[in-house]
Amino acid sequence: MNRELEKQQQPVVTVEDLGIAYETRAGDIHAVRDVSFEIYRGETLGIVGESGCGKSTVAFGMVNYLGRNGKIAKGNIYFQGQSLVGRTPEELRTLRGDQIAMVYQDPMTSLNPVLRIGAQMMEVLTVHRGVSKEEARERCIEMLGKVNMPDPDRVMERYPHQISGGQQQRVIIATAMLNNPALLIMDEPTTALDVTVEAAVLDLVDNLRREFDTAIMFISHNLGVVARVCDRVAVMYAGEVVELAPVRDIFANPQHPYTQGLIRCVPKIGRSKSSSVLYPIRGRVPSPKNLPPGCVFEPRCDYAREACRTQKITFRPIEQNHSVRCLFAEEIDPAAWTPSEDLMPQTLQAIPAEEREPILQVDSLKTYYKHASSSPLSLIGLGPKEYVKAVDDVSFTAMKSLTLGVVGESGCGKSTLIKTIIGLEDVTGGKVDFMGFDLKGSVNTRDMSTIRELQMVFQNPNATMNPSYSVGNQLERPLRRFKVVPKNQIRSEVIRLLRAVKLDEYYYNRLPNQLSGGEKQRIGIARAFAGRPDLVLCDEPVSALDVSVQAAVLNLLSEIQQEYGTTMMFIAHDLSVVRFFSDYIAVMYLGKIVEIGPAEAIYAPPYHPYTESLLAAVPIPDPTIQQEHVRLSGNVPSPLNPPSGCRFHTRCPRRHLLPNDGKICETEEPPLRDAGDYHQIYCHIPLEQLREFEPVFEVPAEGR
Amino acid sequence: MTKFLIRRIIFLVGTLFAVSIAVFAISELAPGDIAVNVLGNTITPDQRTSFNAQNGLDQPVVTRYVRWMFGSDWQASALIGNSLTKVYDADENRTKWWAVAEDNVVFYNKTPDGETMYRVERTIQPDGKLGESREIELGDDVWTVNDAGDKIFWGVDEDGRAAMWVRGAAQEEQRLTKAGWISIAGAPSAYIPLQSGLIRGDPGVSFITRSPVIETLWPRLKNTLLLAGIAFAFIMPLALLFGIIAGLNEGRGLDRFLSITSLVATATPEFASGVFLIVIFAVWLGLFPGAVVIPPGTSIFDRPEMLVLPVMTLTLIELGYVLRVTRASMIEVMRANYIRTAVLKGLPYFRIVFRHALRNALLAPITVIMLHVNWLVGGIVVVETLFGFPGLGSYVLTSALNTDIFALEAATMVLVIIAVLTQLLADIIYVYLNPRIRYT
Amino acid sequence: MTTAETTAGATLPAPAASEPSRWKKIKEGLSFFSRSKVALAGLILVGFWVLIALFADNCLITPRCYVGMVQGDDITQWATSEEYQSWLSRYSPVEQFRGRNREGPSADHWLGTDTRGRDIWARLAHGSRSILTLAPISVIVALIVGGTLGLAAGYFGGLIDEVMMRILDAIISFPQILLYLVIIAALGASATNVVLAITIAGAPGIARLVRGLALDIKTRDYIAAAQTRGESPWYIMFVEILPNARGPIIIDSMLRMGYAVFSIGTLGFLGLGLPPPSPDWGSIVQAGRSAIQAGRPWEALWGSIAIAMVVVGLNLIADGLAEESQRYR
Repeated sequence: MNRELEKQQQPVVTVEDLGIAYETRAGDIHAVRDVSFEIYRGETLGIVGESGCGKSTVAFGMVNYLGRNGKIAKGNIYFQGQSLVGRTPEELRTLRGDQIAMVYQDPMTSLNPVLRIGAQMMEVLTVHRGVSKEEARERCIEMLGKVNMPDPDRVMERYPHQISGGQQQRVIIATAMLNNPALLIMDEPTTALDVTVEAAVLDLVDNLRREFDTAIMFISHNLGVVARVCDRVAVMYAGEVVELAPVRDIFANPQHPYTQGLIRCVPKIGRSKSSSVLYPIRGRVPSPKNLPPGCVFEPRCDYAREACRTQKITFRPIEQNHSVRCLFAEEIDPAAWTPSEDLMPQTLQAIPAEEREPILQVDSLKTYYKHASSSPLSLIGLGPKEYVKAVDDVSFTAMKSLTLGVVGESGCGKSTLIKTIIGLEDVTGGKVDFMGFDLKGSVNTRDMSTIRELQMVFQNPNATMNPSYSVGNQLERPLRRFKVVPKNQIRSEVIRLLRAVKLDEYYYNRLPNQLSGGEKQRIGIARAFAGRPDLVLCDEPVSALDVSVQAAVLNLLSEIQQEYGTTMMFIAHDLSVVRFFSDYIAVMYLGKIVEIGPAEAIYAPPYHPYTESLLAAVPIPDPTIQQEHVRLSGNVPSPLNPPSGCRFHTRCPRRHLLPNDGKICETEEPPLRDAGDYHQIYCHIPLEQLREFEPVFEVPAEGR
Repeated sequence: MTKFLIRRIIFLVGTLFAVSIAVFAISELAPGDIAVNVLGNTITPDQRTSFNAQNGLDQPVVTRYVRWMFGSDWQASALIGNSLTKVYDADENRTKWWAVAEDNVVFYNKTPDGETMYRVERTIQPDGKLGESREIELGDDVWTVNDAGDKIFWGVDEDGRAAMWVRGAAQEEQRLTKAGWISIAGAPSAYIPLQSGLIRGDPGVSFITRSPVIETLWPRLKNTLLLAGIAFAFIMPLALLFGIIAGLNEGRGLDRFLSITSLVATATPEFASGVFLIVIFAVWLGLFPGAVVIPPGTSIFDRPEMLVLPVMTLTLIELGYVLRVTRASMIEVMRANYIRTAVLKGLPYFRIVFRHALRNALLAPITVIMLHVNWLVGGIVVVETLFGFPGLGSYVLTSALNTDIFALEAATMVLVIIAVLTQLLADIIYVYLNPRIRYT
Repeated sequence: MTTAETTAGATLPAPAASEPSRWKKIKEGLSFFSRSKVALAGLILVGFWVLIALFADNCLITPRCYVGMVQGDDITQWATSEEYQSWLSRYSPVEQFRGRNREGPSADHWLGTDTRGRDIWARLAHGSRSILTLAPISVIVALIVGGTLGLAAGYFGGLIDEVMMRILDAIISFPQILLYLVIIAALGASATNVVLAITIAGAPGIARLVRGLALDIKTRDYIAAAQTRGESPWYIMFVEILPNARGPIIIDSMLRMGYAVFSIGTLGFLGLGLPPPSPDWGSIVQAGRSAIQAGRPWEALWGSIAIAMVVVGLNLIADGLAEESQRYR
């Protein structure tokens, strides 16, 4: 790619001082202000930022689809030299779907459920280009082939609900590419997808850009994803672009304090909490109704000076191709940054292996859900009984005061596993031994002391608290139920708990709708620890939070764990987060554990082939790290009817290493290969061969 | 899909049975004695006992339910040993049950003294009328001995009931005829009132009118179907059209007007809006008749203008409801992500509305709308009462007010069947429109 | 914008706390009516009749009378007794003015007189009491029955849910008017039976709504949190789930109140309502029906207008509430 040559061309799209406002009863709200950038042919511009920073507003502003109360208040958008602002609806219509195409976050709801895939694709050609149906059909099939859709002919006849989420996104991408648009806008295109599917879709985006030479505007909250596919990156904060630079510069040499903070928030792949600390950004994103008078980031900035508080900051170039909205960008040296005192890394005391004692032993645990069979006979109770084998024959041991992480893609059974342990689901078979107690049956058959010992932290901050009751009320309830403290001390204990999660006592009378997501999650943690449990099960506690909040909550969790010596099981789909937080890690696929072991052992060979694929797929927020290219084919099979033998055999990229192309994988359950130090791999491939795998990536040396 | 529909059909059949049991049970709860209700409180205890025995009211409730639902003729036929049939008797101007002797010959039994049994035969002539009666004396061997050692005979009595005579135990029977109560000698000891049962289309004979319910019910049903059919034909297209228009213009003046108007129209009870319409169109403007009067021998088609106000009243109330449901659905669909996709694909507005939005927007309301047929039934009862329209609605009301049990039960069942069938229809349309169920 | 905040070290100070006081809640309620024109119109329509019902005469301060009147049996004696004083109604609802039957509106009789020479205004004013009492009672009873069934079905799921919902579906698929007719025909016309009929007809719909809400709410994490505390199902149903379902239930109840008035009027019109000489609105329309064609529509017309005002008013309030709640979502 000859970038210099490209630069001489006219940009496909130029955005100048764009301002977007929403009209409300209380007056206009300026959600996006002074945004400027341009995108060239064959280039991908990433737009990254936390939720509510105006990324999607910019995307929909580009096609002037802002709803009834939204409007472009200021500035201009030039598309191929012509202004898009002030065009008639009919002129915009001829551009949309033809010259400017869009891909959305949620593929399932973005396709019309009552129309066949073919019909939804073909109309783009028949409406814009007036081609005949036969020709449109042929071109759609051809395009589906280009997005690696298996069996395009038949997919054309299908309805959206009949194909998987990844395939739906491919259909949407294919539809967008049909007219060979000059500009493709992708709004969080992989956020709703699993990590292996995400990796494949990102590969596809890259290939298509190369093949069609399209200008792509790629919006994501995930720094790793942006690092993988973008040429240049614009970082947005509170409705403004604060930094715009080539992708390597953004990650290697960030100039704006916000960008620097953002990168420090994210756990680096391969780092753990015993060796590194996450540095959250203090304060919170200001509401667009109530912006600071000067620099929007000033209230949270470590370098803020008087000048930052008084004047609006302009977006200015500091190097070629590198612009930043900061008065003192040249003076700030990110390498010289030191965290404030309370953020100094704590030296965690690692428990030596010989002193580790088991607290939870799970033996051949099975959790099946009954599933109504599709046979009409089942209406009268005669149909064959079918089961969703959500957790099937899982065994592991959790060590006292340590964290066991569980990773896997959606539907692998990790949530069911901890719900079964805590008693929200019934045990179908197997044994769960918790400190000598046999945990069988659901939670309401257990005695109060067992219930108290096991608590849970939940995923969704907006659902973790009952919206009808105050914070104090909800923290009091477990104290009363578990009789943790005498009645007259309940209030002071609640306040102590609030302080433990870094909230002050004024939160006592707050209702949940007055709290931010991170605050709700803290209350959820306080509630879980109210009964001083021995084992806390965390179900994706940070995955719904923005990275800066995520860092704070992770720090809080590890601090409390350290203080109480609590054992934790920690579920997450983000491999960097799990690695950061866990001492041991179990990898699950389709209801089975395929690999379990000490955290550092999981991230280096010998790998289970599935672990290897996961690691190859994980988006790493560092464009310098080269990942090995291993991609999974096909879809995750249904847990209703899982594959025989090794459940991974239908998608395994390493089967060919075995004689007869892995015939044995289809028929026999994989044996346990013990790599020592409680590192176990369930695979037919001998350990020696597994050890010979290339590492997926070089884990950078520990330290800052 | 088949599974879904089979499920629905099983459920609907179950519903119908449950409803029939419920209707029967509630009617049974009616305070007071049916005999007293029907015959007035001047009857003697003897008359009351006879009445109850003759009409099977002395039987346990389960027996009566089975006879009402599934008929009693098969049971009686087995006891008598002949098949039974219904024949119209011109002399008495009513249809009653006869035993069948051979082709075209029917008979009943009688015994004047409780000892000698006679068979009274009549031939069915080619024109369907009954020929002369012929009495045949039966021999002693017709009596059979039952478990209790009595000599008994099962036959059909003169009044068209299956009856059991016991030899030597002749009784007096009180029978209500057109001429009043009479006593008849040589009466049977037990009766099974004959009917072929609701599921074979015979809801029994009304105690009040003494004629088969089906004969009075059928013409009423036809009138009601006409009224409801015309109303439905107006409601559906208008409501869907206005609902879609309102939904597409959400928040604008047109939408405000349509929503508020429809809310007022739906909320106003039928009898109130009917009164308003009569006052305006019949009394002040004199455009249409304010009541439906059908002289004997004419049909409603002779003066179709009589239907205008009833149809208008029904339309007003149902139109508003369907309109509001459709509007809400349309608004929701127009906010959906796939509509955003369609807009950003650069499709023309009409294509977005008709191809992408419409089918989705009709999906949700279709079952709700069809369930609303239940309300249409309610509207029909009120409208028919208000306008004096001779339909099933006013029939149900009259039966309820007069505690005409069989008529009330039959009319209720007919209306429930109609309601349930429309729901099945709604399910089929829903499945047809929704590929998520059609292709699973 | 709830997911944007953080600090690690110092505790987060809470922004100035605002205790929701009772006065503030009342103010909020009032400001709702000033925001929603539709709801305001509804409030005026319903409020008019509520005022009339309260101050029609001195009956409400004599509970014995009021209870009797609702039951429809005491009215004649009361309205002819010495204690009786008509206030807003101007006349007793049972007083017959000789020779003045079926008159149009006049200064003496604002709305005219009925077949028996009774003042229509007085009868409507008194009739508002029974309808405005019976409607809320029947809705509350239906709410208790339907709400409990729906909560249990939604929360427990499984066979309980299946069986319960099939039975309720069967009742729903049954035209309500027939239910009324069959019940009233079987049990006779009385205030209690009217409430019973409306409860039986209304409870399944409420159960369905509450079940749907419970199914949704029970998937929330705070329910799982309560379960992991070992809370009893009843605690979870009534303390954790029910308060969060209140919004839709309130809107639905308002609509149902409208349906209840609608149904009570219809029953009266069909001759299945409160027995005469109770001044039942539906019965007033029924009694005046035959005179419409003769050019004396007053009795039927006023009765129809009164009942339409209340039902439309309640529906307007419900509509305003629904719109407002959507706006907050």
